[in-house]
Amino acid sequence: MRNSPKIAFVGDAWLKKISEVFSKLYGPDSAVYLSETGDDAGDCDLIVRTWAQEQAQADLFCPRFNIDGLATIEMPGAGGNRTFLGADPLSDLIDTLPDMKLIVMAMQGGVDFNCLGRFEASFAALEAQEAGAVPISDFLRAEYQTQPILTGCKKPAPIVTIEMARRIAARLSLDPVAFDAVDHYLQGELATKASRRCMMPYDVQKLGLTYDADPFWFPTFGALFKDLASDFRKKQKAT
Amino acid sequence: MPLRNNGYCCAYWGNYDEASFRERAHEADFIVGINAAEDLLRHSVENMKADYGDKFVMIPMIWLNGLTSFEMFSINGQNTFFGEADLVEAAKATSFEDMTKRFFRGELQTDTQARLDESLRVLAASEQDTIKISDFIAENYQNFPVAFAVAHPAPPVIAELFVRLVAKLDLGAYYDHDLDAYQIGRLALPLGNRAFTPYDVETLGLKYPFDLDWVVNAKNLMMLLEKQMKRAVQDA
Repeated sequence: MRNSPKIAFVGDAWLKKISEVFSKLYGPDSAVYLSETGDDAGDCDLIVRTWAQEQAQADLFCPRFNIDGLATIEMPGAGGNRTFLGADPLSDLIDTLPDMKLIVMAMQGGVDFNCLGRFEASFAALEAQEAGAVPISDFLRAEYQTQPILTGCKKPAPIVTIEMARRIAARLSLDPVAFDAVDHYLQGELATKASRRCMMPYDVQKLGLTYDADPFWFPTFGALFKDLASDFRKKQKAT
Repeated sequence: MPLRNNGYCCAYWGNYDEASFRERAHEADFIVGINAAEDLLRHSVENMKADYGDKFVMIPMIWLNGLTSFEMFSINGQNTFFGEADLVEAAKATSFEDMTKRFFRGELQTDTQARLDESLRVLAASEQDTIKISDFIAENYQNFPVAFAVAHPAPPVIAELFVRLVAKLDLGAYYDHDLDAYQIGRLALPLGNRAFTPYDVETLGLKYPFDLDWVVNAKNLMMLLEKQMKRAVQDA
């Protein structure tokens, strides 16, 4: 083995970000990122994989980050196949009420988007993965009420990525001193463009968040609703 | 903004439709104008006072430069940078790349506190004939966001301005003081194109967080600044 092991990170976009942390802190040769369907790990000394590949060989598994419920509604993906997380209560009512009435009703807190239930379900799924992986749910639980832990359901905030990298490094017995070099810029580089999402103040309250999660929820909700209604009616027409 | 059981009707004439304003201004019980920069004013305050007397009330133009390291705001359709002077100077002294590197690492600051103090001074000085709001901003800018772009005050500032306006117009009886989340939410003006960095939070002593995606935003702004600098060299 080299002075510092060469680690193959095989998995999703989060693992790519984690591999970037290793490259920055332990040197550019310390980490290689391979996509989930990518090549084999070649001359790497260790393999860290995203959890869903539990059948594959790895030295460590990293859970798959997917936390729903920290947005009232969210459009996670881009491209043609649009999905709306949390929008079921709206879809259920869209045919029974005029759009404007429904929008105002929702904006005044009259629709329950079940953020707490969705959030807890996500956590249960995450915790189930952690039996065979490096855990992170304890950190998320400790932090989510006081600061943003994500910018989208599959987009962990930089503090979460750094924490996961720190835990992986500890499991691999790498020198933790490297993490003293984490600065604002490295953290900033780990941030990804936020998904289209809105967090209503009513849900902020229900989740017990102590920060203003989304000052722009009002216009964002209106825009998301417009897209949701348009997709809903297109689908209706098609059937 | 909500006035309850009021019988009042609010009309918004915007900046530019002088004819329709003049045509119907006499119908209004009150006229609220914004104290824009003199070269943007269609009417002088004196003329408005002379024409409409005490029913004319002015609110200040809120212009807060310095709450972020670097941002771009459109003024009359013209994209304008704020905080760029130090960046341009540094880029000329070494190179654009070096300047950018130093900016991202917090080694190159853009005088946020001085710019903000100056904005507050100018705002306060402009408030002699207007509703006052600079004191509220000065007291609170460290506690919560007071603006999301140079000229886009945040909902709590607009709400406070409204409360003060209502008091000045003696409309307190019609005003529902418990603004709910819906009413506050609809006051949001768009987020600016800005690099609101962790260094800004430290320098200004803010108690609320920077933008998580500040690096992505700052890179975009830097690209635009570099283009502008190259154009300036070509034009010279």
